[in-house]
Amino acid sequence: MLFNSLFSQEWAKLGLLAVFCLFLSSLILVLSFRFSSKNPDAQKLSSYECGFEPYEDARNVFDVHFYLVAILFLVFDLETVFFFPWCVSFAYINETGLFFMIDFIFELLVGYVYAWEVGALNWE
Amino acid sequence: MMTFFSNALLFPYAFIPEIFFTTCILAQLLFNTKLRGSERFSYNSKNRIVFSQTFIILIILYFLYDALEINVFSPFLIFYNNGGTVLLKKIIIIFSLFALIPIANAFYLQSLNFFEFYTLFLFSVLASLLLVSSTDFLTIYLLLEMQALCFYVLAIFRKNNIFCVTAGVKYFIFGSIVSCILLFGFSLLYGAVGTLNLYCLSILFISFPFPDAYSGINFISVFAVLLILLVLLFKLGSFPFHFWVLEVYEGSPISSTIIFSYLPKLVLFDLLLKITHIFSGDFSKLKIIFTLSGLITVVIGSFMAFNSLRIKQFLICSSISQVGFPIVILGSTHLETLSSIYFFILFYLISNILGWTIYVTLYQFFSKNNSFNNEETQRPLYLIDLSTIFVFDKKYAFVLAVLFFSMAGLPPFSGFLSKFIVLFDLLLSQNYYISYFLLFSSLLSVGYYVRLIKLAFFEVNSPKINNISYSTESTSTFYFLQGLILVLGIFFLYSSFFFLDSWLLFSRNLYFLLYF
Repeated sequence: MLFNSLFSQEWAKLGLLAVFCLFLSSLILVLSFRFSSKNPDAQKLSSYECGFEPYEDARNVFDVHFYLVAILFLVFDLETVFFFPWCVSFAYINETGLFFMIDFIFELLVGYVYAWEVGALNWE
Repeated sequence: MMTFFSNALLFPYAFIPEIFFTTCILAQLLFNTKLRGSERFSYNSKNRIVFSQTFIILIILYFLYDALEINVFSPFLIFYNNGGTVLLKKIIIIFSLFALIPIANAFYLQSLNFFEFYTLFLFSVLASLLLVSSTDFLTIYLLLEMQALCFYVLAIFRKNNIFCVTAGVKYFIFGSIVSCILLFGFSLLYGAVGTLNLYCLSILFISFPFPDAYSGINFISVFAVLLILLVLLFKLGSFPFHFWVLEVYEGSPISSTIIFSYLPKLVLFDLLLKITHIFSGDFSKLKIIFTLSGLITVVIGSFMAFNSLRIKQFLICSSISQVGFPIVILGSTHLETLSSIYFFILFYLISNILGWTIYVTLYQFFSKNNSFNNEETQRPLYLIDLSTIFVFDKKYAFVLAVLFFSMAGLPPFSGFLSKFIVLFDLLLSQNYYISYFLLFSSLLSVGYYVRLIKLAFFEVNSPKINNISYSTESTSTFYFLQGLILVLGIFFLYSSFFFLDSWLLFSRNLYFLLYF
């Protein structure tokens, strides 16, 4: 009864996908761990190269540039967030939706040109 | 119903001005990024170029609205356009044009050199233009956020000044908390009645009041409306939420303070009127909030103005107390007294812009001799600095006296008329105690305005804080000031025709809900 219901039919695919993802990722992890060549040094073992130490005194001078770039990333990530539901529902919205999306991309492009010209993307 | 949907074909034509305006803002942004790097122009001429671009864009926008007055509803009924909204939009543009002159002067005097200021200003104007014609709570929320985001950046515009940064961060934190509450109110309302469209809500609440069996839903929707109204009162800076106004407005640069004090007021009152109209049936008990908050705002604003030492602080406090008047009428009377609310707000906007112009002119007088642009010598202008102004410049002192007498509400000026209409409406709707209270609190306001005039004219020999000398060459700002004072005088003569006749157009803005 439960297995024949619409609910289980829909969710079985998702469950299969989840199991497959888990399998694939663990496979890649194990294989890469097994077959890769390992010769560590001090530079490689140090903390990730984000510009400053992760554990130190909070009252230090740091570069605001990292945050600026992160915010720019955020803006262009929002574009993707907007794109996915638009693609899925494209069959239901008429050509108005197409023009709205074109307008959106155009305005985003203007923002990109502005950021480029002002020099927000340059690293000094 | 059918007529509106057939009108929906006209939708793109009715919103041509907004589309044009957006395109212009983007083009201006791109053009000025190129202009910014060029070596051919000096700082002064670059500033002048950006100012004239902004001015021309707004003028063209005004004539576009003049040409395209179409009654139309957008698809999904989220925007609408009719004579009333077009008139309101025109008024917003006219006030933006008036305010642009002191804004640009203050911007130049503070030697800020980011052209993004004008872009942000135009975006906030765009948001308020769209807010006037929006009829869905979701678009209202989005546009309020759009305006607020522009304002946060404008408040923090002078990055190296610590007061400015404090003001911007405070504004941002208050604003974000408040928009959370607004969204909570909208979601509760949606949960209770299942729609956020103002048309559907007006049909629901005006035509079909809830039966007693649905008292639970009724309670939730009343609570949601309460939250929404409180947020709008916060944005207006009314009584329980007046604390942020002084800190934020005084900390931010003058050019931004002028924008904050004139632009959102008209739009927010329009929004409040729409909402109070829709929820007038079951929610009439909520109106006591307006009465209480307005009355206390008037009194508290007056006391704050008495306490103030700096001119900027004084102007902000007096504007807080003036906002209280239309809020009182919102709580006390019927829709028929719309004209008095609009009349008072328009007078408030005119006198507010004029007050800031006077402040910027004084700033200009000081900066000529004392190199105010230098960060060390920069200090706020105190009220005592006005004390010798009559000796140095009689014309300026005269203009100042006319403006402050008008704001105090003395008979020959239009400020008297606006307060008179408010009190008259209150008396007509038999709110005697409220009108007595307002009368006595306006006596307070007469006190502090007249004190300022006494300082300017009769305290010639009072000791000054620093030995600062004036240079009173007539500037363009000053000519503008004199012209507007004349307008203020003439406004009194024409206003009687105004509020009898053409103010009814505003009511068309609201009665759209009844004709649906």
